[in-house]
Amino acid sequence: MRGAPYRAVRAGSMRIYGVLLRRYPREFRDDFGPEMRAAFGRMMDEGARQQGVLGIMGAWIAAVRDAARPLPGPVGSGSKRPREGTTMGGGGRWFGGVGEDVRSAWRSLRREPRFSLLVVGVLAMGFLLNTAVLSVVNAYLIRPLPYPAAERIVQVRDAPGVGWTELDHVFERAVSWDLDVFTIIGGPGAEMVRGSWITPDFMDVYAVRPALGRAFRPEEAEEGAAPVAVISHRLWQERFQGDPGVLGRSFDAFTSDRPDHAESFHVVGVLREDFWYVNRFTDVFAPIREDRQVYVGRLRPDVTLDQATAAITELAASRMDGVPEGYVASLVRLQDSYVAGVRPTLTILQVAVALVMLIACANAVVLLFVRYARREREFSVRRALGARGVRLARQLLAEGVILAVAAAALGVWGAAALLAGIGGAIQTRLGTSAPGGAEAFGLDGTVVALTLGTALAIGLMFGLVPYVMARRGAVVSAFGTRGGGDTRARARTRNVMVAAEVALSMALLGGAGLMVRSAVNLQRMDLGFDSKRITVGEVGLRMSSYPEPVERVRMFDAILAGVRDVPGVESASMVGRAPFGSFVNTTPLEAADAGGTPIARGEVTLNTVDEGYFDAIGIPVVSGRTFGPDDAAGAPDVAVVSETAARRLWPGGDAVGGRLRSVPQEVGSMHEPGEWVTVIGVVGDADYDSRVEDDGQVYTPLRQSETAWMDVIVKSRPGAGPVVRAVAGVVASLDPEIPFADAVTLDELVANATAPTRFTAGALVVFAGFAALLAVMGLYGVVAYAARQRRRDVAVRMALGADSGQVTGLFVRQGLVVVMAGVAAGLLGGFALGRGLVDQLHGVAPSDPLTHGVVAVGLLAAAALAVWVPARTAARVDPMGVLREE
Amino acid sequence: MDERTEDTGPLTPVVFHVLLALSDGPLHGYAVMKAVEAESGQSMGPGTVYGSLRRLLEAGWVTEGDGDFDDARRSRSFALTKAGRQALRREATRITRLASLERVRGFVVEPDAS
Repeated sequence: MRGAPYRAVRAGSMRIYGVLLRRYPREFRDDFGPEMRAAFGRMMDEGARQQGVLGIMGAWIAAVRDAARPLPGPVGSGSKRPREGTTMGGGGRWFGGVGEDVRSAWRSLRREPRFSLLVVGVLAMGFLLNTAVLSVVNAYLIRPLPYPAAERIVQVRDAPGVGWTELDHVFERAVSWDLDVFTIIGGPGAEMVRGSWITPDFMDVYAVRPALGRAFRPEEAEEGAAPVAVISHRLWQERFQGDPGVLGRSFDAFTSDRPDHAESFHVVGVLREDFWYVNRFTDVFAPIREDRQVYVGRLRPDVTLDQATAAITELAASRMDGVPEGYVASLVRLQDSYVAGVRPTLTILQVAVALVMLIACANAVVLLFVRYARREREFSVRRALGARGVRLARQLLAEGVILAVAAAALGVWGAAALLAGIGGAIQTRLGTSAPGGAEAFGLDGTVVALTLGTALAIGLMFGLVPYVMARRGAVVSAFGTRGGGDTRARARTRNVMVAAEVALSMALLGGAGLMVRSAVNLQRMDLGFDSKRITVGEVGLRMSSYPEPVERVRMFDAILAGVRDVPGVESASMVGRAPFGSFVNTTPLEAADAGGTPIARGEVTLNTVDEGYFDAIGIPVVSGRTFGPDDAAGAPDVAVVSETAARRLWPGGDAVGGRLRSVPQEVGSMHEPGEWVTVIGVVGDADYDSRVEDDGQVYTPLRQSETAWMDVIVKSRPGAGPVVRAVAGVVASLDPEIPFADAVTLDELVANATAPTRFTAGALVVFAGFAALLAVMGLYGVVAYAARQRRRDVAVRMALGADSGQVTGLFVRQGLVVVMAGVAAGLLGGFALGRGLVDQLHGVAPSDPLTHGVVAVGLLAAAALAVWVPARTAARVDPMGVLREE
Repeated sequence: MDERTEDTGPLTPVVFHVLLALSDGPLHGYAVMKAVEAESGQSMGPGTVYGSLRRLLEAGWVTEGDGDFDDARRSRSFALTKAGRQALRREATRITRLASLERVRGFVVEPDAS
């Protein structure tokens, strides 16, 4: 083991070892603590180098055994001051023998390695899942964003007209940024990259530190200043081949700011490779050149979020004519806004994994119960030999803590290894990269402390098991409390534990089942289009080369004609925004009948398409017609609407022949309503983004639009290879300054959109599967134990003529009562969990009878088997043999 | 010769091995640990080794090496004092004398020649 996972394990181990050192007297620790830690670190390093994981465990075992030993006493009679006795220096009486307790606990656990390994294994798996989820939760929700005083950075929304320069009374620093696309030309060819216009303070608020060069100077943001840029590590590597002398070089680029001519941007800095947040959006930073709305600000220390909200609301309201009822500007802490999308998923995982941990604990308790009952004789012998009850209790406590801490250590190690392996995939699946980047999933103080705390709590709980048993009359002689040997009460405790395990795993399985069905539904969901064999890429025309809409349409036509000639291409068409592509904005529209009488308003997804689009992507025409070559500039403005839009905007009437116009979007906006357009057809619904709630889609024809940006939809022939390169070549041959960008298959776009649901489903299936396994194991163990306990009873019955079927039936009946109770409680739990999942479900109800029913039947079947096998074994007993035994 | 060098009775194996490890020259704590483990064939740990070193420092048998604090490794070096060397010699003599006793030899299983 090496690299990041080892570093994480090592860091965690050092922390735990630091805690272990507290066992020594303070003066000793003060003197030797740092050296002992260093020595332990070297033990780990050496172990890891020589034997990998085994070596690390070896170092840990040596360290724990070492810590369990008393410190050496003074040497010789000449020692200056014999402190006290031979054991530890400073500790009190009670702690004096901790080493002894740990040693005898260790010996006792070693005597039954199968039991110990089973308990540690069960718990370690629980810890692994728990720590893994906790690390992810920690990375997203607990750790502050990696900015100075990150909790004071807030995002401002719904504050139209409030500029970033006028908020000194609220913000220490306010920033604005605007995303843009930079088309870099020259050299190896045209390339579109994401860029940001930023205000001078942006780099400070976001703690953006260039790895090379510098951030912007205030004067570079002033009007008329020569264009400068800070570029990403990627752009540096790919476009400048990592040239160390890149500072001082320039590149030519078009921006939407100055679409008419390319400007030469002077590179003054290169970003760090790992800068996680801004890099997602940006290959080029340049100083902002227009006044923009405030986007983000760092609150002044003396201003609260509420005060800032009030101040900005007031300012924004003063700019509006007609303030809407109850208008409030929205200020959200940057972290809350950043993680808003993943919070529900992580909460679900956290709850699920906590349930798994509970099940693992219940399982371990059942195992301990059985074991302590078996050790009853040992306890009474030791007591007869004069061992004090406290002593025994302390040893059992030590056993519990050793088991739990060993499991926690294994689990933490496993989780670190797991996350090192799949951390990247988790970020992709969650659709949000972790704040702080790849390192964020590493162990830190929070995770280690919580895990260790959990381990100690579980260890203490295990230590309490014998007391509970004593109360139940199990370990009577050990603690001197005579409970009358009520074995029925003991059995009841075990049965309750197992029933609880069954119930919890039933609930988890139910939740997992719902998520799986959602994932399947999403997969199978009729998206309204056919994504097969389709590749999507974006082309953007420069306004300076194609200033007139008709010229742009001509160029788009040329591109399409060229692409259709590429071998392997079946068809080519265009759409403004491909399904599951870039952000989807909804637009408010007003619908009217043919006479112009308004009927309804709605929020729709607007899109621009060419004549071939519906056909290429498989969206059916429901009524009327779609666009033709004659629906061009100069002809009457037309639109095609989807079925949902038709139904919602013209309820009860016919959409074809109806009219539409856009209406002002923002509160207080000064936009006028758009021109009326006539609906000429209705097409099938298509899903452009499952997360967007809209009233359907409205399409307008490319030939009547002024757009310069279109997605090319390339459909390949069956069996044809990748066409991206050839298509890009065609585009470049028409105009080398037009890039063909972001080409992906439509299948990939759809898969990415459903990834979070599949991730949650997958994780829950793993958790629930493990939980069910534990429950079945627990059940098996309890029935097998009960059967063993009652061997004589069984033997007598059989000697008296009962047949093996009757005996099997007896145990099965008793076992199934427990199972039924668990399943019944678990059904309720499953409904509750389902209700918690409701926002994540697609096409299945939280209390879906089929899902919960199948889960219940499946669990019952597995449980019946787990009960039947040991019951059958019990009934195979040779009655005379058993009776002769004693 | 002061009182510290008087006969102190048998030493514990760990103490003996620590003294032995230091008899060739000053060592860092971790090196002591490795040497003791190698010679005694038993796994030690930081607590045992540093615990013994503390007692040996207290007894004046071991002293901290001067100015040799290796900052990167956070480790001091330790050296045998004259008293420590005498104690080691005394213990070695005692063990040798014990080992030469006929009755003790009777219990030792000689390693097989084959």
